[in-house]
Amino acid sequence: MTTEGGFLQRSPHPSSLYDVLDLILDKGLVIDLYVRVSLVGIELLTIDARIVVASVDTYLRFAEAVNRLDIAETGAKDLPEFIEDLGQGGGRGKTKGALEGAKDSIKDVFSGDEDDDGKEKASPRRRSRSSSSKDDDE
Amino acid sequence: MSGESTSGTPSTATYVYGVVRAGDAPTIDAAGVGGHGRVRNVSDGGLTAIVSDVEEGFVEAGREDLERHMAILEQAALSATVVPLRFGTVMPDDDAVTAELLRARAGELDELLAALDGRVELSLTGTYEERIFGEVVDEQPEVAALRQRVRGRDENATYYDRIRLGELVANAMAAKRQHDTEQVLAKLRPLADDVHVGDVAHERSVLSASFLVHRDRLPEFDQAAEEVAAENRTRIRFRYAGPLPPYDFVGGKAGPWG
Repeated sequence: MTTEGGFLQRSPHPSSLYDVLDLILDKGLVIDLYVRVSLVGIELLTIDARIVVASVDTYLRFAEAVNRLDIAETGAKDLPEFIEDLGQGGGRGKTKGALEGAKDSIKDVFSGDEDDDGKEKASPRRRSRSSSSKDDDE
Repeated sequence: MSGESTSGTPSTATYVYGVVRAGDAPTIDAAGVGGHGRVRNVSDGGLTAIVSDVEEGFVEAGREDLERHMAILEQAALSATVVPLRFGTVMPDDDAVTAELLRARAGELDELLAALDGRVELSLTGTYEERIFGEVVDEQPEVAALRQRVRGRDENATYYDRIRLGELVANAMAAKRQHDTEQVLAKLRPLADDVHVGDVAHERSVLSASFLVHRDRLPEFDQAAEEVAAENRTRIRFRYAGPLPPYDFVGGKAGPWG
């Protein structure tokens, strides 16, 4: 019954079990002494869904999330410039600042036959920063 | 159990879904929670409780019972203003419903029905898209710098840097969450009679909010919600449910679910 009305994901009622629980549990008028039915096998799910926000695990997940960003998500406006660099035989030493990492990421995808110094085989899609720093010095 | 009970055999009890004004009591043809009885009405004075029989020993419910409870209240809310009761409310029999709910709490129920008259609940939840992390990197130089330092390097060697990076991202996300929540509420609150903002459910949640809205203002509210979603279309995914019974606007937070 979920429908797409423009950019809102609409449904007449909550569509996932989590949303049902979130909407209904703990809600509604209470008549003292008479709320006596418990849910079986659902309480645990509720607790699991309520992830504690400030934890080391969360931080590591967030770090992973920003590290796997690619150029589509940050600095996309510089893509034409970067492709131009590629056309000139590589952008080594030209990319600086916050966008550098993003460009490295897309470069790695293209770099199979380019800029192969044979040192980074352990991690084929990602080159280390030390390698790039070395490139900058060349 | 009282001998005059209308709730059937002595082995049943009465499950209560909600209360409406007797004048607009709906007729709902559905199986009730527990699958034992059909939905029916118990009336007293100007009030009607929507109920069904359950087996007396019925104390454990499953997902389908939760969905029945919700569906029955939603059906009632189509044509009536309804005060939903907490899920799992079972009274010994119909007499108890009359005496301890409809009579004992008539004043409170009248007030609630008057306050809720013609109003429904709309639920809006927002979740950040993955690309929100790109926003954080673009906006926070320290995050961008740390990211450069750990990117592609050995996970063990960068453990503490990654924790620090994640902590900075978490702080930035919290600030964004607060800002975006304020923006959404600024737009929608003026169209609602009441707002309830729930706990954040997930680390990428923006908000989980319920709005009490008069039916006359539904199209306007709907459009405002659509605009909020359009403005944030690249960064927040909004889910919108309703019209719903006003679960969040009948008071009472304490209960067996904590």
